[in-house]
Amino acid sequence: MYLGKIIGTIWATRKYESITGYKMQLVQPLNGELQKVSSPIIALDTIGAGPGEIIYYVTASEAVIPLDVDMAPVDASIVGIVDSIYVEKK
Amino acid sequence: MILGKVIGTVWSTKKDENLVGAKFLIVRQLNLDYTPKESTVIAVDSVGAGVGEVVLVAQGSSARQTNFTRNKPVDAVIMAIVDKLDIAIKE
Repeated sequence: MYLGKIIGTIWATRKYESITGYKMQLVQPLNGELQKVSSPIIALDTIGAGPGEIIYYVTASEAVIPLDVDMAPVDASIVGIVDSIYVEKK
Repeated sequence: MILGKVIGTVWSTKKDENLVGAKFLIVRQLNLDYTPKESTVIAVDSVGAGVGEVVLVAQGSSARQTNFTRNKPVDAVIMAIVDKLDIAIKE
């Protein structure tokens, strides 16, 4: 799982049938110090997170597991909202 | 998933027999402001996308999670056509 921040939303009327009804969010991946790493990705929202929130997400085919469907072409899903985070200072 | 724009089609006669009937599109990766990135990817279409459309591409083993691509040698699939992209937090 990876940390990220939701920076926006994507609307797509036409999408693969099994993911109809799921919201898609733009996620900026972050490191433990909440600094930006790599470029933003799009992830399926399974918990109702919103822009500005720090979340964590799963990638690869495991991203399908939190969905209610057996099969879905999804490679990133948001699975939790971060309340607080503690990282030991280097 | 990554954001991309369909910039072309690939035709291929000789291919893995599991891939017969697949529609292959060339997708150029985009930044969030729709400016093109360097990389392109060949993706199987699952939603009926066409050239010029902005789409989302699922990559890796997730690309095999559609009825058509199940257990087939596919590592990128177009799974949504983007209507609108709203960037709430700009930095």
